[in-house]
Amino acid sequence: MSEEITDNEIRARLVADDSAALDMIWTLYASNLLGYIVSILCSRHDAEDALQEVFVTIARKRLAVAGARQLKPYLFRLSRNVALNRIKKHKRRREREHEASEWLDPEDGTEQGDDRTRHLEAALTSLPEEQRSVVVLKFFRDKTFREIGEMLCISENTVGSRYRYGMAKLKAFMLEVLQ
Amino acid sequence: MNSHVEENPLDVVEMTRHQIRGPSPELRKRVLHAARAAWPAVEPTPADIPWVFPVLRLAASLVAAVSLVHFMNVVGSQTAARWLAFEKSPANADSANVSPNQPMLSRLADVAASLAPKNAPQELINRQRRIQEFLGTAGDRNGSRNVGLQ
Repeated sequence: MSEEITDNEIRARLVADDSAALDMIWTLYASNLLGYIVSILCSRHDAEDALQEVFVTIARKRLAVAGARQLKPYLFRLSRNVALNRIKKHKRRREREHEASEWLDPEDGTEQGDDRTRHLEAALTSLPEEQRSVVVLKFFRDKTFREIGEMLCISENTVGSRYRYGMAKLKAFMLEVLQ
Repeated sequence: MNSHVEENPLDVVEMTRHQIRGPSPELRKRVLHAARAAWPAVEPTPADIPWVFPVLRLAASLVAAVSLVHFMNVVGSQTAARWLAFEKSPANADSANVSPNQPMLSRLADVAASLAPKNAPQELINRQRRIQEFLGTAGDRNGSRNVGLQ
């Protein structure tokens, strides 16, 4: 289905007041948006709530969404704003819970896997938000630099440099932890 | 494997790739349900329509421009009406080129005459008379430069 859906189709449905546009947006973008929001909030649970807020905003401001020049960057910007607003609102609560938050899902379910995941979470969480988003989108969502640049409205070079800095910090952090 | 991991920490990252799961069907159901509930609740406001603000700004600019031009027209008309009234007044009926300063100049000439010394030398009196004549005919542009100054 996703191959058949285009941004123009989604726009047409939004303008025509057809709520099926929400399904189309979900099919095309929900997975990437969730990954992106998780990378900002470092919390799977919060990210799911934020994703819901994003879709409610899309429903309310459907004409503005339909009028966006490029749908994908618009949705990523919207998601970022929602995520950052949540951080502002729940800063104190988040600071308390940050230590305990687990936002990567261990694949193998073993203790070793859990340890790895915990170390990686800690390392990723220590990165600045800009670098973390790029690293997560590149590594965990298999996006190219160009795609990430389009999503975040930044140049490929900027994506590349953020990625390199992020990975260097990640490597240093992991070395420290594993030794 | 552990030793390999210790040699290259980025392998840890590599091994834990794809660990951010995609959204579950339950999440999809929940999110879309909430979004659909919000769908009919709010009618789109002008702020939601992207072309409304530019059009409103344009309209406001037009109204401001038209108001300004109208105001300037009114002020201009009032000023012109005063000039016309002055031109058509009986005191200036004979003069083709009437200066708005002429009444003041006439008054100055009268003042100058009244202040003239009684026993001044003839030359001074003559000069004063010439000045008086000059001021008296200042409104007449055609001949004013030469009158009384030969």
